[in-house]
Amino acid sequence: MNKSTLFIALTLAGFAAPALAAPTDPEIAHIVVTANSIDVAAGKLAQEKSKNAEVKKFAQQMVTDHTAVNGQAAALAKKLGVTPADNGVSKSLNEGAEQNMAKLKGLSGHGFDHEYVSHEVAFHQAVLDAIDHTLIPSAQNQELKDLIVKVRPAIAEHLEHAKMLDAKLSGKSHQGHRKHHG
Amino acid sequence: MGKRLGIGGALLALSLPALAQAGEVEIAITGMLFVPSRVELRVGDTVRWRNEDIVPHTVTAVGKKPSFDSDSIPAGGEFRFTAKKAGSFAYTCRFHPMMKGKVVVKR
Repeated sequence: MNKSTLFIALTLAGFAAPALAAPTDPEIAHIVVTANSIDVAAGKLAQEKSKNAEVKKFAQQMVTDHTAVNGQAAALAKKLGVTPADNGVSKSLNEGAEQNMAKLKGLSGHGFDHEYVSHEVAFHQAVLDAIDHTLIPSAQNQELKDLIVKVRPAIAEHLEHAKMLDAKLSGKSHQGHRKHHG
Repeated sequence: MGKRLGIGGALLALSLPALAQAGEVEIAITGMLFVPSRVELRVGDTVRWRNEDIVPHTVTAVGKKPSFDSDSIPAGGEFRFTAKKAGSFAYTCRFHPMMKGKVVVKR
């Protein structure tokens, strides 16, 4: 686990600690939108920078799915008259995302692919844990809770997809950069 | 009276096989799964997939020349496929390769 993924894990896990107050619905809405927007931005960067067809396809999917989830979240917030409220978790997520983006922008080729995908694994795992331990238990409004429950399988699928890609990319990196004479 | 019944019976006999041929099997796409994941039908039957998820999906037969490929089905959208030949068709979602289903078409 590198520094930035550790940061995400700590941010979301620390937030889930019982000593901290449970987030309010407007804060939950903000966290949902923030997490989705972060992954859309990372996906767009990967679509631009990666030369790997599978990584590009995965990145496209992250952009499509997380944009769709944000659309639903925005529609629900409007319907319920909830104004998403910025909070410590959203701020930490944004800071972590800025660091990740800065790091990714300095990488290319296989190094970029590997960093992007391994970060996606950690990010989706952290989001899944936050959904299970914090967001679903804390959500007061039933429709907000239902939306998060409905989003969960997509996050789980993304995690499995990212893990599969990560394993493939790790296999490649073990061969080194020299040509492989099988 | 007897004649009328006879005509009615003949009409019924004609319409029943037609109904049987127009079978439709429904599959929900929900929670990133095809539900049910395996269906059996007969040649001439139609499968209807409904996307009940938030995100778009596809229904794409596995293989180099897929027997069916829905392209993107938006949230709330549908895709229909009428089975023209017998066989076992494994399919997936092009967007989410972890999703898998199977359509078994019998004669």
